[in-house]
This record gives sequence, C-alpha cells and structure tokens, in this order.
Amino acid sequence: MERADCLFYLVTDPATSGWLRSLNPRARSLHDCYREGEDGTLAAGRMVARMLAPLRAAATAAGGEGTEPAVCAAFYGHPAVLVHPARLAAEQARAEGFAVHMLPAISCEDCLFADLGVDPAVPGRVLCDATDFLLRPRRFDTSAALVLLQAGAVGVRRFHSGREPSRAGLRLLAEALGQQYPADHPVVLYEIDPLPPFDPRILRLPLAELAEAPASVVTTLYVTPLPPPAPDVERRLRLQASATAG
Amino acid sequence: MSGSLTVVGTGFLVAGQITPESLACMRGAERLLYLVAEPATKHWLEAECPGAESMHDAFWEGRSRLEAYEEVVERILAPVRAGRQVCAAFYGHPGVFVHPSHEAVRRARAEGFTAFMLPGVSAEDCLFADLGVDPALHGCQSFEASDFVVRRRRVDPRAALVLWQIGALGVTTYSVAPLWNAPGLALLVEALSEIYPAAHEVVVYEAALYPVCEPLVQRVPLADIGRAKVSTYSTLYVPPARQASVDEGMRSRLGLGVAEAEPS
Repeated sequence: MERADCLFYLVTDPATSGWLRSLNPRARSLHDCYREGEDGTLAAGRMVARMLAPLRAAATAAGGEGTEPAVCAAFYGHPAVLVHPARLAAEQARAEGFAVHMLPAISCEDCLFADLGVDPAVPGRVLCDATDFLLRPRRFDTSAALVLLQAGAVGVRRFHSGREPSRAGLRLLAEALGQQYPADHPVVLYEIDPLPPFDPRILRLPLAELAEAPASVVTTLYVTPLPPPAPDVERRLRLQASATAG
Repeated sequence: MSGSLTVVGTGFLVAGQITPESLACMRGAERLLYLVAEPATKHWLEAECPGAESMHDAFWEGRSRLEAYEEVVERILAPVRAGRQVCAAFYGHPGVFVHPSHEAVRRARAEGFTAFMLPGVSAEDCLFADLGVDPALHGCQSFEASDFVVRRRRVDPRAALVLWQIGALGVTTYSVAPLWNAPGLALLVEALSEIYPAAHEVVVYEAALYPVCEPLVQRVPLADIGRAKVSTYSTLYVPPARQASVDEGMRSRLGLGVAEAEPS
C-alpha cells in the first residue's frame, strides 16, 4: 500500500480512509462508484474499470514494452470474501495478461470465531451468503455451525446508505431455518464495530425471535450446531487400522 | 492486580501477517507463551518479546495430543491465576483449528478472569487469497478430515468443501513425521467418492510459511489425492461440483429479477 503507484481503497469509515491517505498520498477512494438506489453490480463494474485503467493505459502507451505501474487495491475485511469488485478486478486483470496477487487478511468471520469462541473445524461450519442460502436451497449438515453473511441485507441488490435491515428478508430466513432447526434453537446476531475500542454487538436469541430481532443491514447470523451424528463404527475401525498400519 | 488472558494469532510469513493490535498485546504482556510452526517465527518472537516461553515441549513423539493440549491450557492459565497479564500466541488464527486456545479462554472466564481472543490470518484465509476463490459465492463447508470420514458428515457438492488435517487422519498422538497416516488417504478418497466424481479436480494446499516462498498448490483428480505431497500442514479444497439451481418461488418472494438472482 505504501509503495504502490496507485492505491485504490474501499473502507467503511473515515478514520481508516484518513489512515490510508497518510500511508500513501496517491490513495483514492472507490466509494463514489456507488449511486444511491442503484444495483450494486454497476458500482462494482465502475470500480473494476477504475482499478484497471492505470494498467491498461501503461500497456497501450508503451506498446506492451514499458513498465507497468504497481496498482494496489485495498478493501476492508478479507478481499476474497464477498468483495465482488476485488474478485472481478483480479479475474479481469489476469484475463488481460497482468500479474495479480491477492494477500489474505482478517475476515468478518475470523472476528466472529474469536469473539464467539467458535472453531470452524470442530464441529464443522457452513459459510453462506444469506440471500444465496435462500435462493439456492442445498442440503447442509445442521450439526455444523452455520454462518450466514449479510443476513440483514437479504434480497437487497441496490445500494443504500441506511442501517435498517431488510425485515422481509429476515422473516424469510427465519422461516427457512425453522424447517431445519427447532423454534428454541439458539442463534446469534453478530456485528463488528470497525473502530477501536468498541466491542462487537453480540445478541443471543432463540430462532423463533429472529424475524423481529433488532438486526442491522450489516448483521451476520450465527446458527449454533445441532448435536453431531454418531460415528460410523466400521469406518472408525478402518481408519484406526490404517493409522496403525501407517 | 488480577490476572487476565489475551489469545492472539501470528498468522503466517513469520511476522508478515500479524496485526498491530496483536503485536501490541504481545509486547505489553507480563508473560508471553507461544506455539508457532517454524524456527524463524520463534526467533522473531523471542527478539521482539524477551522472556517469551515456547510451549512446544508439551509435544513429543507418541504423546496423546489431548494430553498435550491439556498441558498447554494449564500452562497458559497458571500465570493468569497468579495475577499476571498473560498473552498466548499461536500461529495462524488462534481460533481456527486450535483446541487449547478456545479452551484456555473458556476456563479463564469460568474462573472469573478477563479473557479474550484476537483474530489472526488463518490457513484458510491464505487458501482463499492464493486460489482466488470467494468462499461465500457458492457457500463453503469445512470439517476436520477424520470427523468427516468417521461421522459421515453431510456435504452438499453444490458448495465448496474445506477439509482440515488430511495428513493426520485417525491419529490422536503427536509425531514429528510430516505425514501421519498415508494409508488413511485411501479411506478419505473413498468417502469423497460417494459425493463427487473420481475425476473431480481438488486442491491439496499448504500455505507459505516464509515470505519468499510460494504456497504449495497441487491440483489433482480426487482419486489421486494419495499421490500428492500431503503433510500435516495440508488442507484439502474441493470446489463445487455443480451450481445449485434457483428456487423460483423464493426468487419472487425475495422480489428479485432473474438477472438479480445470479451470483454477482
């Protein structure tokens, strides 16, 4: 970020924005690509065009012989997790022959694991975008924890700057989960506060109260796991035998 | 002053992925205990925080891992109980496939101490960035590999799958060997073949430990996992076999148009 010839960024608060500008005076926000009430994919398209523009300009000017500028794009959270402009820009840049690297970071889910004391490996976890979870029903293991990203923005495709959740979406989510979990099943509404020293918002409630719960547009829903299935005795014996053989 | 516990993650790439918040906690702690994957991080950490104590000696060839974890938890808690501000550092994310970290926080809180965990960059985070896959685009399921095999955990092939610890199938004791159960991989392939076609391409992945190194990305047909280089650092990534279809009734209830229902 410090050394980049062009630094583009998309963050959620002015403090992070100010910090980025202090790191690199060439930093430019991508936030103005959004238009109130417009489909978010159009904004992502504008962001991709803006991120690729310096690479394309250098390639054209030098006839492919010159040095390409180092373009860095910084996003809040993990750039691979539900950051459509980051993924689309990486795919497009690779398709046009530019070298692309993505560096990992701490995701919203990583914060949830730490704050709720949840390990995604044991007893397992399912991660889904909440709208996708409803739109494309799949048969997931309910004895794994379920993390539904953007649970407060179900069905929302248009950008808006308010914090109110999609109430209709929460009700549909509650209805769908009610077919797989009991009404008193514990769920957690989770929301990161992006600025230190504030604590995350953690609200534990039974599934039956989800539809009318005080969520916000950035709420993540954590559904606790049901008890695991019993081990398959034959499989266990064979695995143990293979371990001693190895 | 009463004791407290902060659990942090050092990520990978030696100090390259640690957060400023976690580093400040490590430097500020009265006692720092740690478990890291390789010597460079150990040297960096001991230079950064003199007096830091490795807990690696809790692990030895043939020792029950549960027993080792119990020792780790109690070693972290001992100075907390003695009233110290304690920091425990683990490589990667301290809460992702790390048992003693969560247990130490739980036990400390149950005893009335202030305890919390700060997130770190996990091996899975590195995997998503290195492979360029968005785990939330089609959904992602993750299980510990032995648990997946033995409990026949339900997997939907229309979402991605991550399996942890494919190099330690069915093994409950610690070993210095890089791969703990090679024959067990056949059983893993058998279990996966009930869900995916044998030719389905999977990735045997190892995050890079050092800054100049590339991650180990081996793309093989599912049936050939046993021929890949597998170690206890390997994670298996299985991409979705097909895309799930849209529930048209739900699409109209969500008020979405046909194009809007496509993953953006």
